[in-house]
Formats: sequence, structure tokens, C-alpha cells
Amino acid sequence: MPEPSPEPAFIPYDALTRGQKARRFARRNPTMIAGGLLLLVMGVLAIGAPVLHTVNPVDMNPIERLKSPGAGHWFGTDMYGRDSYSRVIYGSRVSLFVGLVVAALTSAIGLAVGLVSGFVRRLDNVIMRAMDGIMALPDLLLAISFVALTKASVRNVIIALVIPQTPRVVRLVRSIVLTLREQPFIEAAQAMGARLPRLLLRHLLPNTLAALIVQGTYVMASAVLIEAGLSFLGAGTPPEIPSWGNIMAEARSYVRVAFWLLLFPGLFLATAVLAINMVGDGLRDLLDPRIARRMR
Amino acid sequence: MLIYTIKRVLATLPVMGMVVVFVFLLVRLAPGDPAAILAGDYATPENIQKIRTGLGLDKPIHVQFWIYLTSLARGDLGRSLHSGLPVSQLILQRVEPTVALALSTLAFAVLLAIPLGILAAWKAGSLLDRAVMVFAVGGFSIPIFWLGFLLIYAFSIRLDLLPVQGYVSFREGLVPFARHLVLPTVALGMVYMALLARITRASVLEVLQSDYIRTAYAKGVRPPAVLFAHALKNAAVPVVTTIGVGFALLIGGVVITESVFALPGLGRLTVDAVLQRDYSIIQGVTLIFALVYAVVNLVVDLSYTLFDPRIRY
Repeated sequence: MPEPSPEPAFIPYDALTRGQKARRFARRNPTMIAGGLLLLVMGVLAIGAPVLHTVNPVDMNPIERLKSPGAGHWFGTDMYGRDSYSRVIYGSRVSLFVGLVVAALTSAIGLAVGLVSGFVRRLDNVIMRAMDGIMALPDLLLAISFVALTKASVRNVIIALVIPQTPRVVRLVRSIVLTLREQPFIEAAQAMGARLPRLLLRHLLPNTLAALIVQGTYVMASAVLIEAGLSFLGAGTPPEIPSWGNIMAEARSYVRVAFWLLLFPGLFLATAVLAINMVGDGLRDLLDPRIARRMR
Repeated sequence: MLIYTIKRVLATLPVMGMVVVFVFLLVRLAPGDPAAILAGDYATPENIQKIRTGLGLDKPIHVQFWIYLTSLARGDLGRSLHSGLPVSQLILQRVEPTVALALSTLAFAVLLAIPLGILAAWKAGSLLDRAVMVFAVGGFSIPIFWLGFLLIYAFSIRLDLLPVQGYVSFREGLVPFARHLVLPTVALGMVYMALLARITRASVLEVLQSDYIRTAYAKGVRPPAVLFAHALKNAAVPVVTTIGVGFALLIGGVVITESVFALPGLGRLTVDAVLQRDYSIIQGVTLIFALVYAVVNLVVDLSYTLFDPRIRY
């Protein structure tokens, strides 16, 4: 019988080296690390697009059209002879940018409105009914009608995505505020004469941040997905900008002859969304063990 | 229960009212003059004026809203700005493929996701459980239209098993009808299924950890009986809630799926209207979808008492 391996000696956390701490963190949060690395790679690709062996994504070259993936064109070329690899890499710029901005704006607006709604009882009813009204419309439908009414531009796509996503954040922040406002520390702050702005900003806001960050990642994931969906339907980012949705929209009639034109942008899109969701799940487990136990 | 039902129905009214206001404003607040857009690039000012009075756009906004409300009450959704046909008629023509797709997707997702979720929770920590969870996160990240094209490429173009696109009414035979719905159903159902499987697993897992389950084991109830007779009913409420809330995913997905598979349903009607800027169709379809969503969630709320007699209204 082999010797049982000796119990590892207990080392207090503070005595660990920085590398050991990092390794322990990675071992305990594999999803988040994997997702984070994937996202990092995509971010580097997006930022480094101009130097990553790409050609101008809008350069047409009719002689080279519909070439299958190979040495010269890693992801093949499209019906105008444009290099698909360059277009996909440049596409990540639009998609990730839209996702990030939508997540940031939604979180900021949702936080402000949610704090007020949760703490100022007189406004609560009005705000929440308005939010119910927005939430009664499926988000893609709301976004698509908004874009239909305005001119197609990146700015309008961002607005069209922020409107349907905000009520979810408002509800989340409000529900946290509603439980917090009954806590003794709020009462104490009020007793010491803290005014409303101070109460909201110094006492309530910090306690909502963990949940807000987690929610923000999910907002980003759906924003990236819906932006691609809108562009694919022709109601999103203007068609001359190579976003993943636009590339796939153009490629759709070539599904028989040039499947690679659909394969690669979709693969990047799915990977990006997956990575964001993985980071979100990881953050949720890390920041909120109570929910983590229920959701795992 | 009857009183609760009435109360709950009445409670949806303000929300629907908000939706009506929202849909009304959506078009009025749009930049640009609908009359000018409608008249086209070569219209004379008189032409534009004529269209404006014809649509009632020259009246004050509250009068316009009143006109909109009263015609809604009569079931009149207005006329298409392009074809001039009544919007309600256009919608009715397109209902069948959408209802068929939504129902088959609902059945596909619910019938697969719930057993998968239960199995994963029952065998928590096993390989199967991990596989279900990976699938749940993955399925939630795959874009519907990409999945749709992958399926078309694999099953229609490469294997030549199923039709690429299009729709055949069930009146023209059930087999072609079903064959045309298989791929759209799988493409659309994946997200919904992933969501439901995840919630089912979490919900069953939580119930299985509760005290009364331990008691059941302690007094000698067999494991399958613990699961089926004791645990499942109590795990149902969050799952049913998610079926209702997730219906929004289904509605949004219908628009994309119908576009990928060229199904002549409400989703296609919406996309075509968006591309043509046919505001009255957009308004009509948005209202109908919001109404369906509200009714689905109403039914979900009312169904809670079936699963949990402790919930009394």
C-alpha cells in the first residue's frame, strides 16, 4: 500500500507569497480566469487591429473574391475580395465598444434611478410603473423600433440598447436599497443628521456596487448579442462599418459557397459573449456567496 | 382566487397603458416628419400637407393620442403607410408561422430543459451535471442567427436532410410542416433551453438541500420517491416564473429566426416594416407582442397555486 501523502502544513493566508495567492485565486475561480483571459485576448486583438497583420478591412480586390481560408487570407475573402480576417478583427472593435459603453451607461443610469426610487418613496411608484412599461416590451423589439425611428448610427444603437436594459438594473438597485434602508447603520446616519445626497452616495451606493458589477457584465453580454442581431437584421450599426453582425448579414446569401464568411465572425461573437458571461458568473460567485450557492 | 384573478388582470392594465403611451410616443418623437418621409423625395409641399392632414398629424398631440386610443378600442391598428392595408389584417395574415414556431420552441425547450435540469441537480457534481452546466452557459452565449446558419449548413446543405428555408402550412400536410420547423425550433430554442435548464437545476438543488427532504430520507422513503413525490413540486415555482419571463427572449428571437429561415411570420413583418420605416406596422406589432408577453406572464402568475397550495390569493 502506498504511503498516504502527508497533510499539507497549514500556512496562514498572509504568509503566502503573491504568486501563491494568485495561484490559489486561479484554482478557486477557474471560470473567471478562463473568461477573463479570453476577453483579454479579444481586447488586445481589438486594440491592436491595425498592427496585427491585417489589411484595410474595407479594401476591395475583385480578383481575390470568395477565396477560401488559406495562407494569404486566414479567414478567406468575401464577395468583394475583402480580407475576412481583417474585417473580423476590426469587427471586434465595434462590438466590444458598444458592449462596454452600453454596460457603463446602463449601470450608471440604473444606479442613479434605482437609488432614488428605492429611497424616495414618493417617486418610487411613478418610476417603477414606467420601468414596468419598458420591461413589458421584449428588448430586441424595443431596440429595433428605436433604430427604425432614428438614423442608423453607433450612437443610436447604443441608446437603443440602453433603454431596454436599464429597468433591470433599476429594479436590482432598488431591491437592494429597500432591504438596506431598514438597517441600523442607515438609521444611525440619519440620526447623525446625514442629508439625502450623503445617505445615497456614502451609505447606500457602496453596498450596491457588487451586485451592480455582476449585472453590468450580463448587460454587456446581451448588448453585444443584440447589437449583432440588430446589425444582422439591417437595423443596427451602419452597413459600411465592419461589425460582426454586418459581416454576417452580408455573408448570409453566400452560405452555400462561402460558409467561412459566416463561421468566423459568429465564432468570435459567440466566444466574446461566452467570455463575458464566464467573467460575470465568476464575479457573482466571488462577490455574492449567497446567490452563488443557489445558482451554481 | 377569483378576486385575485380579477385584481391581477386589472394590475396589468396600467402596464399595458404605459405600453400604449410608449408606442404612441415612439413614433411622434421620431426625428423627421413622417408625412415628408411618406411623400418621398419629389413631393411638393402641398402633397406633404395633404398626407399630414390625412394622417391627423396636424392636430395637437393630445388630440392625436385620443384618436389613437379610440381607434385602438375599436380594434383598429391603423393602416400600413406603404401598402395602405389595415395593420390588423396584415398581422392576421402572418400569425400562423409565428404561433407554430413559438409553440414548437416552447415545447422543445421545456420538454428537454426540465428533465436535464432535474437530472443535473439529482446527480449534482457528476460529469452529467457539469455537461449540463457547460451547455447552459454555452447555449446562452450562442447567437441565434449564427446557430441557425450552422444548422442550415450542416443539416440542409451538407447532409441534405431538411429544407434550407421557408414555411409550409400544416394544412398542406403535417410532415412537410414539421420538417420546415425543426431547424428554426432548435436554433430559437437553444437560448431558452439553456436558461430553463439552469434555473431548474438551481431550484431542484435548493429544494433537495432542505430539511424536509432529509426527513423523508430519514424515515426511509426511496430516493426516486423523494425526488418525484417530495421535491419536484416545490421546485416548480421559479421554473414556471422563468418560463414566463424568458418568453421575452422567445419573442425577440422569433424576429431573428424568421429572418434567417425565411418564415413569413410576424417577425418578418416587423423587420420589413423597420427597413421600410412603416411606423404603423411597427406600432401594431409591438403592441401585439407586448400584449402576448403580458398575458403569458399573467397565466404564469395565476398558475402558481397549482404548484404550491401555500400560495393563496
